Amino acid sequence: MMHDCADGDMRDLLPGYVHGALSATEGATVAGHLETCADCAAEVELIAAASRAFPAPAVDLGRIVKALPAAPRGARRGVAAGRAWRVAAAIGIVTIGAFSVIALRGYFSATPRRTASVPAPATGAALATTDAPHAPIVVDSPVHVSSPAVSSKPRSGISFGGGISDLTDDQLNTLLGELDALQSLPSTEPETHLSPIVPLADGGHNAR
Amino acid sequence: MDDGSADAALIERWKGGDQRAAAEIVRRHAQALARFAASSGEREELDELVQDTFVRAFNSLESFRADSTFRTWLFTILRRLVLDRKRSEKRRHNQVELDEGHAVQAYDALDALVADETAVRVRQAIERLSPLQKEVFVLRVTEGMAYGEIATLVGSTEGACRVHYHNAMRSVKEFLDDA
Repeated sequence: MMHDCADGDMRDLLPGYVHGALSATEGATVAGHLETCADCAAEVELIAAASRAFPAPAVDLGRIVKALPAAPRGARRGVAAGRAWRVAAAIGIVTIGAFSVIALRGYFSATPRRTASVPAPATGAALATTDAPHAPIVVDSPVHVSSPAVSSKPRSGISFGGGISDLTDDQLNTLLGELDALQSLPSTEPETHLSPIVPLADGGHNAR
Repeated sequence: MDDGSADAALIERWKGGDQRAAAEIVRRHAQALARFAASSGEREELDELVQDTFVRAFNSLESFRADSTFRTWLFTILRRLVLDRKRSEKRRHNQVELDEGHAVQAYDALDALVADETAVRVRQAIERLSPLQKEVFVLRVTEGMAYGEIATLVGSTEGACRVHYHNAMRSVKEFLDDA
């Protein structure tokens, strides 16, 4: 006559004990209990017999595996997705950069150009600055500009052509003072379009 | 690594393109699924049943949210397939579904497979259980499933499954004592 052990929690551990699914601690606890509990020992035998009563039928594992859908190739897709993200990021950066350049150009073309008028010394010469590329500073100077146009490369400060050695000391001092005054102007982005330095045939008196 | 973690790792490997992981998953669970199908009364085309279970599982693997273990999910799919097959057979042959009275005859074919007399008697005792009792009892004694896992599978509660199991155990003991 089989009876039920009064320890329900212990009985709940018995199937796991039979299948070796318990932790080491639980397994040791159950093993110790089985040494003294004939009811649980009989139940363990019954569980083992019930497990044997339903043997696993043979199945063709290879056939099942062949019928499965192919693996989704997630790893390769992941690489492709990563590459796509990098390309998208690069396109985004280039686009933002292009819009920034366009916006800056629009801003500076819409901003009034600063023009500095310098008191005229003895004779005139046209000076082009990067700050005022389209409105040359007119300086009365005897300087004769040898080059009809300045380089298209962005420059900072004042540029002019002509023989500086032709100036007198007073003229040079005056010019240096004017340069100091120009350098105190706020700078802006260098631009590629610079107004040409135009030699003044009338000595600069009718330059503007 | 426990069984659930091992299955999760294999699933990730399969999603990453490793078809061998699928073969390993099949190797781990096919026999148990076939045994459960057989214990549910299925005798023919067990291979197809188990194969359909795996195919359905892998085709909808993206929807598997790991709310239960992968094993429980497989058993749940198989259980639905078995129920669908029984319903269709019932309609086709106008047969009565297996109940306590019919179960004994349906499992006679297993006698040849069971070597020892004790196991045969225990199986005969199990066949007399109600369908839900038997389902809970078999999953517990053959697979060592926890009550929570069984509850998810059969659509019941953990407490109810515990009661079903102990009632089933008492019935089996009484049958064996009377024999």
